[in-house]
Amino acid sequence: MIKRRTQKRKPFYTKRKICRFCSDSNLDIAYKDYNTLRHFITERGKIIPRRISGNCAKHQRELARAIKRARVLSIMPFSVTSF
Amino acid sequence: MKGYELCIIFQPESSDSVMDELFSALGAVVAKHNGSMLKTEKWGKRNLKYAIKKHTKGNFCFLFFTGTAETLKDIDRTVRYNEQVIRYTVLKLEKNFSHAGSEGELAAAEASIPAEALVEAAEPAATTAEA
Repeated sequence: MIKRRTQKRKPFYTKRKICRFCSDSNLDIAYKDYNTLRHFITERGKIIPRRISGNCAKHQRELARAIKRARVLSIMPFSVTSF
Repeated sequence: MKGYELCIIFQPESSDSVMDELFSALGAVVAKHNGSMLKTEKWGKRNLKYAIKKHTKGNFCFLFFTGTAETLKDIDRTVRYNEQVIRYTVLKLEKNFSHAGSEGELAAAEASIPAEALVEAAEPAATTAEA
């Protein structure tokens, strides 16, 4: 019984996401560049995890650092409470 | 010597003269510790993403300089007690300065010290030639 169920289950595929910063060398991570960074935060102002955004570990680290720096200087919000 | 970036947000009402006054004071501090000012960036008035000291706008300025830990202590002392400044931070620049969009500027600045002296020496000669 158990064996039959495992045989019926379809294999689980995920489309491999590509890191936007790896594929486009012109795209730079800079804490002053709000228009690039804003794509990587949610409406609430939270940093989007890399399992969603598809960034590689290296660039996600840099990105998180840039966003946190920008938050200190009020270039990026810490949190957005009104929409 | 390491490269640093000082980011200052002034009050939205603060005038250019107030900013320049602080910049010259900072320039003196940097020079005192044998560092050099690399460049100054002024963004002007921008909206803040959240209010700082009840201000919703701020005058953004960025100063790039070289210095040591002692320079930073002195700069901290200079900027902290300025009432026009609502927020400031100092960031260490990467070695190649690519982050600031001025690659190799640190090396160029260090190399340019004798060159600057040459320019200064050459300038009076040029003016006399014109006269």
